[in-house]
Amino acid sequence: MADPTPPDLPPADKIFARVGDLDEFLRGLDRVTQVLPARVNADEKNVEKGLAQLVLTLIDLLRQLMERQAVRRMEGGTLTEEEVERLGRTFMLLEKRMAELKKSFDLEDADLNIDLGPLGKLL
Amino acid sequence: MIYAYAITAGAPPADVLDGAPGLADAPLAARTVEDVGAVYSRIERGPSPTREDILRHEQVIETLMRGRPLLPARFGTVLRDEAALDHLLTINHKGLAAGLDRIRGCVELGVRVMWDAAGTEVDEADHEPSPGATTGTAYLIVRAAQERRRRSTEARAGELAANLNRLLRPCAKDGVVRVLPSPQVVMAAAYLVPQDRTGEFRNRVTEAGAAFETLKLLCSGPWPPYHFVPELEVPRG
Amino acid sequence: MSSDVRTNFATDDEAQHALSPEHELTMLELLDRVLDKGVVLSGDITLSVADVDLVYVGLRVLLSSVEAARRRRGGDELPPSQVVAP
Repeated sequence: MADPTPPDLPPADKIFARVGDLDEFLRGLDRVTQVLPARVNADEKNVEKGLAQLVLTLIDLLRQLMERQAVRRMEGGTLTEEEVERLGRTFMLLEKRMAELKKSFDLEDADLNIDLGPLGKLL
Repeated sequence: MIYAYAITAGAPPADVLDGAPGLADAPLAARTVEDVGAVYSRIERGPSPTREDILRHEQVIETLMRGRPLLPARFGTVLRDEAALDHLLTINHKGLAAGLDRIRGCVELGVRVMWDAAGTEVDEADHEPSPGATTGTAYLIVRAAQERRRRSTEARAGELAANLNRLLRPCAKDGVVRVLPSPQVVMAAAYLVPQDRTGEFRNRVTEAGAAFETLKLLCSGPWPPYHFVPELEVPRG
Repeated sequence: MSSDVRTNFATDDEAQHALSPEHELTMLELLDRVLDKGVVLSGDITLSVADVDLVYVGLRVLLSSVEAARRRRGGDELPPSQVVAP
């Protein structure tokens, strides 16, 4: 029995049931495949950008982790006013630096939303 | 090198193996250790994550899956040679046999649930907007407020996911659920559903959609049981 | 944007071959499964990019080790698990 599926199309009839429009789902799924380096024609520029994406995502994750720690301690009252100000300033600087790096690699905020699996759960 | 597609109960018959070309059109072959089999093909280099290779990988698996229990391999599973494959089957025989039993007669159905992003106050890019503060203290205060909002959003998502799971899970043999994998997706789940209950599962998805008006549900499949495979002992090197 | 998926996988002619929403969703669901789930029979996953074999240990494997190490040290700031128990 001939398989009717053309080689470059996914199997048909995999939408088993739905409530809502397909286009709406597409909008919510675009980050699913950004974990792996998937470019076949990987020229130097793309590989570099892919690495930058990964590195900046990890840095951003660390930034978020540290900021949350700071917020917890601030709310818990275990930081002096001076410490709050100093920490806040450091994070502000880090955020500014991240924005510059993102810009130089032509990366959007959405590009840094790689699903980090178990590490993502630390947040 | 060899590329592995799946673990099967015994070796699939020759006509099935002959009828499905593998990656780069290489012919399929099977090895067995007692009642646990593995289907593979020769490969020159690791497969590229192109649409073509990925679809071929899936096509082989779905062909093999017709009428026999099967555990799909992850894309890119390359081994040195048949001896390495035999070794793996031998040391993991118990786990693989149990794994095949577990999924026997079942398929995987995926469920993704989205909510209206506009109603959740969550930035579309899941990136907390910059506090735009002038002092360090103001910065942290804004972050604290964002944090509180985020936690309450997560709590609401968790509650919704738990309710939906309560509706769907009874129809399945097993299920794995992730809450809020991204800001617009309340829940992403995979369920191991016996083949004779998939119709019932479909009805429950529709019912869930009616019960939760602000949500959109997408049920995909039937898939090979990718989410319900055993973890193996894998020798390094 | 959803076009990210197509460009991630595009050779020049694939880029012009736009998928219907149904096919695109199916592709996304499929990718999610084959690239991240399924039996791991090998210690490393090998993928070829630009004709170079890359041994992709997997970000998750790397992160799992980090997470496991962290737990062994008794980190007390882990949020409750996000997986709803069956």
